[in-house]
Amino acid sequence: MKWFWYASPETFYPLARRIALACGVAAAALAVAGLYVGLIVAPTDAQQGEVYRIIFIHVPAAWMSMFIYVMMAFWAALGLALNTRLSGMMARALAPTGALFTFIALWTGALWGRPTWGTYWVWDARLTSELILLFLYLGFIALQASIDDRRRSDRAGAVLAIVGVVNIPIIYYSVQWWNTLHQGASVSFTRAPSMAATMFAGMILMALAFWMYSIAVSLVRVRCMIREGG
Amino acid sequence: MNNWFIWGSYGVTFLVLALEIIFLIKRTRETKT
Repeated sequence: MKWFWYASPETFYPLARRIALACGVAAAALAVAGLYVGLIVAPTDAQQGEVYRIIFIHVPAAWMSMFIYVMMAFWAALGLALNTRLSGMMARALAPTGALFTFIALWTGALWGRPTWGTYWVWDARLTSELILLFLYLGFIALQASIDDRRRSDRAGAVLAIVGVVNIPIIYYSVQWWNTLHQGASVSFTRAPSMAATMFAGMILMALAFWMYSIAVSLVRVRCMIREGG
Repeated sequence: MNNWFIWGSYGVTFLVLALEIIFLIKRTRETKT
């Protein structure tokens, strides 16, 4: 892979189209499979009944909201260090999709909270830190839009993105560090998932679908930015 | 009643994702001309 060759927007442009197309097709196929497993194959939960099926949207969206932010900060930092145009574009292209997934995580969380906790919202550490993540995304987008000089706006956005990364471990560990209404992690790298295999499979399929979707739309957005001149 | 919460989640999710795609298609067309 010729990394430095593809660091130029002009050479990256045709490659982005091919990757976006492949990821778009993969996202659609994975979403169909995920929805089939999640809504039809997965059994009804013994305690929550059918409403638990929100998990197949809520958890993957929450994962993506955090992962996209880390990727956005990575590209922003790379742009700050190497002064590459494409890095700034990648960071800018990821922000709207990240904000969207953060909104989806909050929205589905509220609709899941009402029947299970009895409320749409509580100022719980997990929910509040996720809301702060949405504000960080919106702040990043607003800051980029408010500065006309692209190099300067990329630098200012990069500082905000890098500082905001501190919120990601706070979101992830909030359920361990504080007493929260939000439940602890059901899936971890260090132990087996605490749910039925089909439920876990549906969640992973939807997470992969969201992942592929995010890559596809971000690359299409980068291509638009390249055509607009940066 | 619980079905409303499920379809409210799935409906809004796919609606906002579809909106993002529509806006991107619009932007793509505008930048190509």
